[in-house]
Amino acid sequence: MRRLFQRPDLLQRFDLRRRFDLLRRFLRRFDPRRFPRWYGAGPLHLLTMLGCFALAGYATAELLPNNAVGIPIWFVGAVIGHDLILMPMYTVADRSVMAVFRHRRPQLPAVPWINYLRIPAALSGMLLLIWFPLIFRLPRRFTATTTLSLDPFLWHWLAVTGALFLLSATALAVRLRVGSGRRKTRDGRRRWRRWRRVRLAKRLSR
Amino acid sequence: MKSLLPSDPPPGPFRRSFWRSAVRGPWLTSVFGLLLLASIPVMFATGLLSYAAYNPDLSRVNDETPGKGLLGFYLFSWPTHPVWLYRLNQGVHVTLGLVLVPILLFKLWSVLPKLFEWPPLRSPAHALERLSLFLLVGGAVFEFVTGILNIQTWYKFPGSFYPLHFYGAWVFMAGFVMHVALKLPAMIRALRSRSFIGELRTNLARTRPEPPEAGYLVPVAPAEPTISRRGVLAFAGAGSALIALLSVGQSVGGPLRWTALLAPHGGNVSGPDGFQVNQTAASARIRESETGAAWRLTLGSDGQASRPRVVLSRADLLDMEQHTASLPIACVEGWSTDNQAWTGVRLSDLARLAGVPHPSSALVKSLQRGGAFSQVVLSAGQVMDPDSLLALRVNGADLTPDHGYPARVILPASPGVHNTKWVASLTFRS
Repeated sequence: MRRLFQRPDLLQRFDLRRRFDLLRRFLRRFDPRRFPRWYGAGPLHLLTMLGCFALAGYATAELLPNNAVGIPIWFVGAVIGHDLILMPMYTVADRSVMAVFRHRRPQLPAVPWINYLRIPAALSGMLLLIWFPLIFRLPRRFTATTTLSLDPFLWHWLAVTGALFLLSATALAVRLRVGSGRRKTRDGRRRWRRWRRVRLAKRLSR
Repeated sequence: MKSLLPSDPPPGPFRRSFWRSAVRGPWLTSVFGLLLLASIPVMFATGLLSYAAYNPDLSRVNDETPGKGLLGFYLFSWPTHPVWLYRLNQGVHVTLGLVLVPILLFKLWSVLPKLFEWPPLRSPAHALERLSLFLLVGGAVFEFVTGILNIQTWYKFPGSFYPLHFYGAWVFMAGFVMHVALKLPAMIRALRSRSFIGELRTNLARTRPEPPEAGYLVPVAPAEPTISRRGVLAFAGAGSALIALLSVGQSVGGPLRWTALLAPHGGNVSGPDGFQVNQTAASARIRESETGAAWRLTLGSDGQASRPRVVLSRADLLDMEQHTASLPIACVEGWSTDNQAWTGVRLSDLARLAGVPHPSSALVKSLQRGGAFSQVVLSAGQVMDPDSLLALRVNGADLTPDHGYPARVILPASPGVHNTKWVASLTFRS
């Protein structure tokens, strides 16, 4: 006991007042006036989040036993497959086409020709994305169970794709023939450059 | 977290200057958001209704997700009228789902810079929000992919379709509700920030980025736009319209059926039995010896063991009072047939013959061995409906083996798989 009094730091460690102080400081975090500062949003935000995560957790508890390995892989794969594979793929494809053709600019029509290429390509791509199992005849038992043939789907898709590009080419030809598109685009390009100059100047002066 | 990471983002997508599309911005995102906000609840509601249509509460036999617990709180006895009820519900669910694919892709494209926010986690609230986005995006893609693969009968997903699509929908909806709660005010603000009509009048030459904002959507170093905002909307709209045009015919039927060039059950089949099936007699391994002259229908009554079973041949059934009902077949996969004229014996007449004039339910068993839908329990409403038949003929001709010869059940307003084919026995419960 005497030694304890000789060591004030030890005494401090058992100091209840200090402990109480710590607890109070921790609890103060949940004071509605201070809560947002450490949490980053209001208490209602936290309640909404917790409520919905509880629901998601409840459903997950029933979902997971169906395939505890496959289902998480599918969920993560869904996000990665879209955000880090599909989306970069079509962006790179779009930019590559633009870059390749930009070098030949003098011969290119001045209208936004890329849209006449990207729109039919993207629409055809979306159809393929949805119906690739039928188009590539992947469901093995389809004909046995439905009596329907899988053969027409590839041809249907190719025909629709052809029609889309044909339609697009016709639209581009009409627009070039009318000629107003060319003038409008050149005019637009000039105006865009002016807008950008003004914007830059504004930012520099600030 | 903040102290662990450099305050300046690393090169690449984490830098705001990486994202250059001049049309990305809160207004454009909000238009796609609004479309999804209106459609996803319809998808969810029609999905839940489709589950209710199986009457899963009636019997374990009908329930594909017996562990649903609280998630089945809304279930009710599925009605039998109007007869096109399930056809409409499923047509909307599947066609709307397909049509939403471009909208979803454009919405995700419009917000992709946000995936690379820097710093990646700012606060506990921000961390939870990002986790909720994982449920939202993962759940959305999971639901769309499982649904789209299932309607093409390509069962590559990790398990049985019903529990995956059902519980996956609840996970997705949890993420959806969180996202709407967090973003609704921002969406309304963004939609009000620009005039919709004004945007529709703005051509490419006059398209400028939306004003800079605190969020991540508007580019700091925009490239010259190659498409206007109205162009982006038209682009997505054209995608949806094209998908609808090439698939809606399988659900609407009639003269539109031939337009369903890219849908599993498009195209016409001819003859009185000229409508689609999703299970042939051969694929259900029904043998001709079982359906020939030796076939008998057994009528049983549950809970009255003293009562002898009634055994009927096809000729006996044809001697009974025949009724005709005009009913469609509507599959959970979204395709359906136009109304067909089914002729046969009323289920309620068979119940009376079995000695249970007011059954509480009925168990139908098929000759098919195994398979999730080789037996089904029908509700009292389904058995007693005057349009509910044990059909022997369709459109004036005998059923073909693929349509369920010698006899099949046909119910108004019910999922296709509940119209049991190659019926072997009916057991009525008093």
